[in-house]
Amino acid sequence: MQVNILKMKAEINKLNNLIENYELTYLNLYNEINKASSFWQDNNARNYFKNIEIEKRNTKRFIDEVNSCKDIYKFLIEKYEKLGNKISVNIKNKDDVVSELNKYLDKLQSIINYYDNLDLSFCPNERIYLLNEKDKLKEEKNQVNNIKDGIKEKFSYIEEIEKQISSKIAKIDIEILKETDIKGFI
Amino acid sequence: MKNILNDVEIEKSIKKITMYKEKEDLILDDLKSIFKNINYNYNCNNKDNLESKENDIINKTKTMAKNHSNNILIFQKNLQKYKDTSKKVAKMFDNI
Repeated sequence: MQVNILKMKAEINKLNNLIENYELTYLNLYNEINKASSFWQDNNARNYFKNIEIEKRNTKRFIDEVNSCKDIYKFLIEKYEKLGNKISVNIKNKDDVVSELNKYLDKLQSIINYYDNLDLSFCPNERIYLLNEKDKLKEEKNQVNNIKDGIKEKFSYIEEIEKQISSKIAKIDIEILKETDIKGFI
Repeated sequence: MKNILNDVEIEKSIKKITMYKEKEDLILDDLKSIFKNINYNYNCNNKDNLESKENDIINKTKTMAKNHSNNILIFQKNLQKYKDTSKKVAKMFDNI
């Protein structure tokens, strides 16, 4: 997966301006059409201007649908930016990464076990040095464990975000529009 | 219902409606490009689902654009019909 937060933010700003601009344009468009109703009054006009009300509602709904997509972009930006501005990771590798770290932790533990099994009673000077080395390994093991937990946590966080995004997408219902049959208005 | 059409005002309206329609076309074109850029910068599990919704929206803009062009066509056709009828009536009076 890849997410570039800064570039997405820039696109959301453009989308905000675009929606604002479109809201103004479609209102102007329909105001102009409605104004024309004073200058054209016959049966065709009556049918046409009735249909215009439906068309205007459809356009409003279209804007709501674009806004629903925008809300999802905003949601994913808000969630992913907690991880960083540019995220690039192969989610499918989660198990492999954790398994490699586990292998490394097992190796560290087996070395620590070797240290534990050493008989150091006959060499007091070396004993201090060797126990220090063992403590360093234990510290290293703790750090790797923390790294592993952090990685697992981040993978889970990403999976949770994607789950939430999926449910948000499923709720978006884009209404299919029919082309207007102009025969009744001419 | 009586047939009433003010050709001068309707011609003015057609011009303004066409202007807003052209502006709308530009905005809807920009929307496609924004969706494209967003998809380029978001490549996760839900990319395809999100893209599918965006494609539905893009397809909808095509129908909307067609319907809004039809508005202009309806005004133009009715205006033409009115002008043709006026000519016919004028000719009838001339003949009398």
